[in-house]
Amino acid sequence: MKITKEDIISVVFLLPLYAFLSVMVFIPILNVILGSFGISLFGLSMGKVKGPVLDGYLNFVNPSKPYLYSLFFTIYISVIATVISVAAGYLFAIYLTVKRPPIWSKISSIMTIPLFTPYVVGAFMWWTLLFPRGYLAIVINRILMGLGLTKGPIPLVNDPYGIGILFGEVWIRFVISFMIFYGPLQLISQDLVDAARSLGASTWQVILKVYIPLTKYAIVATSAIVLLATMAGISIPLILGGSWPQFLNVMIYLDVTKTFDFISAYTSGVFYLVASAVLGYILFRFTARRIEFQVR
Amino acid sequence: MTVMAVADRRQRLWDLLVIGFVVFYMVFPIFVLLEYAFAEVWYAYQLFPTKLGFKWFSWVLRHYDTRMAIIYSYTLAPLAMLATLALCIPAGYVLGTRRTKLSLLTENLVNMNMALPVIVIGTGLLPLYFKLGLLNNYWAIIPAHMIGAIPYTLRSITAAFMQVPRDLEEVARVLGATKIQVIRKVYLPLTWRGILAGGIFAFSWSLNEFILTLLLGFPTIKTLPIAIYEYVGGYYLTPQPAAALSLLILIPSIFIAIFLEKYVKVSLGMGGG
Amino acid sequence: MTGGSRLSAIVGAKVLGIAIALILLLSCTVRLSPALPEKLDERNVYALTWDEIVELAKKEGKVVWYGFGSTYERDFFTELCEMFTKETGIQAVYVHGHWFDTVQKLISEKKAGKEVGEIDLVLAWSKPFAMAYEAGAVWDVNLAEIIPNAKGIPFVAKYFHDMYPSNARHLPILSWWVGFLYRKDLLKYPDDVPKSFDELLDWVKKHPGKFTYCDPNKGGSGHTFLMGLAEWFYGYDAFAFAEYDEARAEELFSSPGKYGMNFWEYLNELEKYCYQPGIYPQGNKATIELFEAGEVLLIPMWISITMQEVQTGRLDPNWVGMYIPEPTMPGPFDGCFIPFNAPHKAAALVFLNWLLSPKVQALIPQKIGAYPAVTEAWKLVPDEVKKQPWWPINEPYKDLVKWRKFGPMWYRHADYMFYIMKKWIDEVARG
Repeated sequence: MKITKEDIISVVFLLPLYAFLSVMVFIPILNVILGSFGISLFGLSMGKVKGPVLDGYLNFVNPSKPYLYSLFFTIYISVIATVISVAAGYLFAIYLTVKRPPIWSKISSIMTIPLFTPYVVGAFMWWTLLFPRGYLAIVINRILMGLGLTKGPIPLVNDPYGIGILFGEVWIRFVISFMIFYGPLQLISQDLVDAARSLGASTWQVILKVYIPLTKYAIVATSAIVLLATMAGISIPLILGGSWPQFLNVMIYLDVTKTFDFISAYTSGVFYLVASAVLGYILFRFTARRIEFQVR
Repeated sequence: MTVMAVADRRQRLWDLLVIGFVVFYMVFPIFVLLEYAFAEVWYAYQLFPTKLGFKWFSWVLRHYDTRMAIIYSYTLAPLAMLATLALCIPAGYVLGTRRTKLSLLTENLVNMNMALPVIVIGTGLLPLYFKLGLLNNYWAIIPAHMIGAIPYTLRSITAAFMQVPRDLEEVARVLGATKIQVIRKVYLPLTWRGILAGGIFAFSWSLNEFILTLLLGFPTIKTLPIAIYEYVGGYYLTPQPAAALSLLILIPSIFIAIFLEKYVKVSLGMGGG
Repeated sequence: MTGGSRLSAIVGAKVLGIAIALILLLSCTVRLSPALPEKLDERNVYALTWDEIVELAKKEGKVVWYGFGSTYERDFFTELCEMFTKETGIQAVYVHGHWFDTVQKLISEKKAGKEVGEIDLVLAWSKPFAMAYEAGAVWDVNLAEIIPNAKGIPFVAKYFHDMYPSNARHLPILSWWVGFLYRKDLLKYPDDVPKSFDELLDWVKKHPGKFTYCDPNKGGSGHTFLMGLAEWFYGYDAFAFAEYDEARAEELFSSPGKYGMNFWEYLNELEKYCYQPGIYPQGNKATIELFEAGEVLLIPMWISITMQEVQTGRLDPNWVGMYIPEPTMPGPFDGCFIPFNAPHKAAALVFLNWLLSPKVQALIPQKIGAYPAVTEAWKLVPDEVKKQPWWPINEPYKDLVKWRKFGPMWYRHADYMFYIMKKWIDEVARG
């Protein structure tokens, strides 16, 4: 196989990236994987454990321990948050594309607020809105009780259903989802839309038959991005989550900082890595090929 | 009134409703932040603060730690952004213009990186940094900030390069342009928005970054999110100074965003002009 | 006497006189003790007098103190360092961090064999101290024997920390305490509140939804309260300086204590009448916010946090009533240890001694709402401070001196407390 100048350029340009990833990502991951078996890569002791042992794994899959359910909770809440943010972001982007309200260009920078808000602050802001004396909690509970749906005020933050986490996550992810959709939607040729309309399509039909099919891979890709980001983020579940159940990364944080249980932390880390890698691989594998064709 | 005018009015109303709702949703939490930042007396059973003032701002700026946190945050962010761009521009060029197996592999690797929870990488990075003596080291924090930024930035830059018609480079070469000229005249004008958007992602990520800095830099290197977290997360919750500090991040950030929208015309999409 | 013998007597007297003079002269100029050592270690420190240690400290010229806590504590500790620097000329530097990171750093340094570190004094509570001590990262010296002002600290607190035998390698400087915070404007003590833990269950049944406590894994008021409850439930003797064994803990906590229930059954019964049953506020602040908002009428809460909430304008002072339920509430005596590789050990000793001086100890209640470790210092605290509503109103707790002299004084058992914290998630939160 001939090695062209092109290939050399490719390799040289990609080298810094790979070097960086090796040191800052691959080696730590290796450390985590080995650490889950009680083996320390750098010769630093892990407390009383001398590996290799399977204790970490036995502990994790033990149904009487919290880890398995915590993983399930993490995935399930992240999925719900993703569905809401992606749908809302997409619909809002479509609204702007179709209706093109003139006022938008003047205030579009407002959308960047959640991007520049540190997650810690964003999470805290939602706590103040949702704790039992928060404005939103008061309003929502009044409405629910008024409609007869609940008998007493329900907890909206630090609750076992992850409601608080959902509010916090959606506020931030909605913007990312919107931003990713807005560009490609603008790229869709106006002729297609005009043609559809001239054939008598209503707005909804235009959305369903023109916009969505042309952006379906973007939708899947964005969903993947948002889902994985939500699963990975720690600040929001740390501040808005309840005693139980907790996100798995919060459990890792507690294991490392409160109980100094490194082997459990590394084992949980491995499960997280596997879950995220599998999800990520499937979704991106599915979309990468399509996007390549789509943009051309 | 004509039918058009009525339809128009209805449309304006809908616009107002939808956009109004979104704006309210974005801004209302900030309003509450403002309340906390300026509330000198606000008993929890009261709906609004009863005494407003600047006490929390002077409180926050009085502390050396906090002043340093502001400096650290606002110097690490541009440095991390530049370092990320330095890595991602050449890589994005390759990924965006040559769709080889290597490109796809790199993309997959980087995208999987995005899926990894940062705390897991942090727990693995901690022993490495310790071994290399890099804990509490300012410069060593920069790579930590880049880890999470790279996937987003690379994605943005790759998309930007993908927009450039492939033949353009060949044509320019055929017409005798040097490498530098190709970059300046062909690529730069077409990709700078994507690059800038990628840079902004990196800047924003670094500003936000908290858990790795907490694990690797604390207590010597404290950035704004950590300073805020000290007031807000865990045991010790004093929301008022946290709110004051948050405004110190938000307001400059909002100005940057407005500036970029207005003068640099960076659209909030990742492609399109 | 003959002439010859008189002469020899005079010469003899002169020689003796010169000899005595020489000896006296020499003893003034030559030190009978060895010269000041270059640096302190576990052996020479006991041989020096306190003044010599002070002299050595002045030579070292600097002390670096790592602490933790709320912003009020940070401000106070920073202020203390400034005061110390002014008074002694030894530069004191305060670094506000987190006990976890500090201890991890020291343990790593010990393993790596780093003989000279950066930290001279560490504020830590029992668990991190135990970790550091077991890793050999603590300077293995009996601080109570060396530091003069340590004599004012209650005996047990010097040698045990949360019942962990610290052997005075760790000296307390303050004690934060948890009491029952109640709505003074609505409830009267003792008639309207549960005067003792015995009355708690009945009280919550009569006032459903008006009591809660902090998630014990998210805030100290929660786990301290549960520790006190456990000590009442099974008797203090079950825990007092007992060895920890997980099997024993399992057995103890699943055995019946009061009301024919075991500990977890009791907590689950209590939960039914709590505010939003099953939902526990996440952290001390979240708990007190519920109180401040009028959602609950009674909570276990740190005195220090109560004070801070009034000072930040969140808690209406007219609402604040505090008492300690019977039989009593345990509490931690938190303090400092010196790392094995502290570069300025003498300065650390002098600084610690200064922190334990009565006038500095008397500042603690005023500035951060904690009790001084040195009991007698309470007498120096101004009356306006003692009158504040966040100090307990019931006897003997009103007067720290009386309380510490005559008791009751309960301590927390770190290991059993951790057991409770971990098990609570399964038995109470999940159940």
